[in-house]
Amino acid sequence: MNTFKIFVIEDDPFYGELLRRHLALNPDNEVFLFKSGKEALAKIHIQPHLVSLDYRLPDLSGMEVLKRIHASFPEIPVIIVSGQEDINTAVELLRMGAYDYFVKDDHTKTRLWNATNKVRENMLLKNELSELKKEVGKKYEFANILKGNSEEMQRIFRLMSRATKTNITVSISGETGTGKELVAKAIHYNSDRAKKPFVAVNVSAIPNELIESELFGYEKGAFTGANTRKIGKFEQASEGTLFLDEIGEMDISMQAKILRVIQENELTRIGGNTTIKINPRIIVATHRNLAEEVQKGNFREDLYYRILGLPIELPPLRDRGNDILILAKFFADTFCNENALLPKTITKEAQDKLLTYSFPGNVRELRAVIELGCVMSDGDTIEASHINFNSTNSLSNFLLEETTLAEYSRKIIRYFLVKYNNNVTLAAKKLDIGKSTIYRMLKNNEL
Amino acid sequence: MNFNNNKKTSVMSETNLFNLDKLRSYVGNNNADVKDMIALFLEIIPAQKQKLQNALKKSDWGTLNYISHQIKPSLDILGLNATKEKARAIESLAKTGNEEEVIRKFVTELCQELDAICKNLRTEMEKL
Repeated sequence: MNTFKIFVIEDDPFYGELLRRHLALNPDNEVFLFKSGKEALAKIHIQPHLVSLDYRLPDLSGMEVLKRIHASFPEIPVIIVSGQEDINTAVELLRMGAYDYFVKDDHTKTRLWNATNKVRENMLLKNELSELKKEVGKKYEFANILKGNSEEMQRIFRLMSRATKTNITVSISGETGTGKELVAKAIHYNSDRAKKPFVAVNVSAIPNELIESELFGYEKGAFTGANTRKIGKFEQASEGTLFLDEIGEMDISMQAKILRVIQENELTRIGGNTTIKINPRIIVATHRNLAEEVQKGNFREDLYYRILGLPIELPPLRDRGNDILILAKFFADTFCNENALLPKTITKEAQDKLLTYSFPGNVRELRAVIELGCVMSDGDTIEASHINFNSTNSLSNFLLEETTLAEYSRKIIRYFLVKYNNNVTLAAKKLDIGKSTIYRMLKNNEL
Repeated sequence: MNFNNNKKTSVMSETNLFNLDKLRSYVGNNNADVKDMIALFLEIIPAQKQKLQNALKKSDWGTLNYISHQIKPSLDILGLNATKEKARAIESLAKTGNEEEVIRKFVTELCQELDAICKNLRTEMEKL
């Protein structure tokens, strides 16, 4: 770990030296000893991690030194170590922001040692948190989160970039699996609000009777089972971003309530009387066409216009051309890396197979297909045979191939023959066609 | 007194009992540090005693209050409780200067005690 810098400001040279040597018993500590407040203030630019400050100094009072340190560096913890046993002074110093107040007595050594360890641990946790936040930030850089060179994606990147510069509400639409939540996170982590919370709520996953308490919170005793106060998602996301996924599924009576909260930037917890000011940035997403839902009377028009903000419509994967191959390579590399497998390349045949598929599950489905392909492949290539599509919407995929009726017929017969272990009689019976038809096609190598 | 072991180390003089256990605990029971700290104490205290005497001559109660306050923790670290309490009494009386005779008596006694403490500590130092 880096050196933990401690200032000891103490006018008694003996006691000061004693504290210096004591704190230096921990080799991670670098202790600086000062005999006056002014000497210490002249070196405060070193930015110690902790200050041990004698209250009574020859030049300045401890209170004055505390004020001046915090005027420049309010985050530096200052512990007052004093011969004064005046409770009023202690309270005043703590009120002014002193980290702690120790009277010089038999417990000083232990208290100072423990406080130093506590501050060091906090510092390490803060550093760790800061590093993690940076990592998260990197993870959500546009280029890392959304792969693709297609014109469609370049247009999306430009819109996202605009969204990060203001607090405008963003409405993201797109088929399932197109990455709506990833886009919301990328906007949040690239905006001024990156250090504040990103709170995601999947509206469709919360029963109607619970959604209000989830979003607005409640006071203790608001209803049976409300044993403690609960802070709602709007409050949690205050100063950060609230992502309301599948907002199109929200009950119409609830829509009126959130409209008021979004418009007024204030809410009242269930069972509470106090109005709480909030300031979340709102990003919504839906797989529905909200304009149509408004026409049908399923979605409030006023809320629609309030949340529309900057609309970002994510294209389905099948419309993104070569992006499929870019994403496939990315998913294969990531999966192999995470699972300690040798890197695998995707053969031309496998690529062609990917490019002709419709991907109703979009990027999410592509990822699953590629990960399965990595598992099925023994060597360093993913072959066409390793690419298996398991879309639940197989009929629509089948039709999306847009082939000839003759080819469709052949595919269907092949499917039934495989299913019934090449029992021609059974396959013909199931399809209500003559056996001779199948035999003829087999003879002519049409199957 | 033996500076080279961990046994409880204390010396009784006519007026003071000093005890190095607390000092040892602060410096991780390191003998070299203990010696350094006693040497520092012997360097500082005579100067502080001189300041007390000068202040007393000038009836400078502010300085008396400050110096007596300042030396208390050092006395405490060496287990010199009786002397520390005398310094505390001077600190308190010197806030107002109302009881001049008592102050004079206490300061004189404190200076004598500091002399005796230093003498004892020097004797111990010579044995090192």
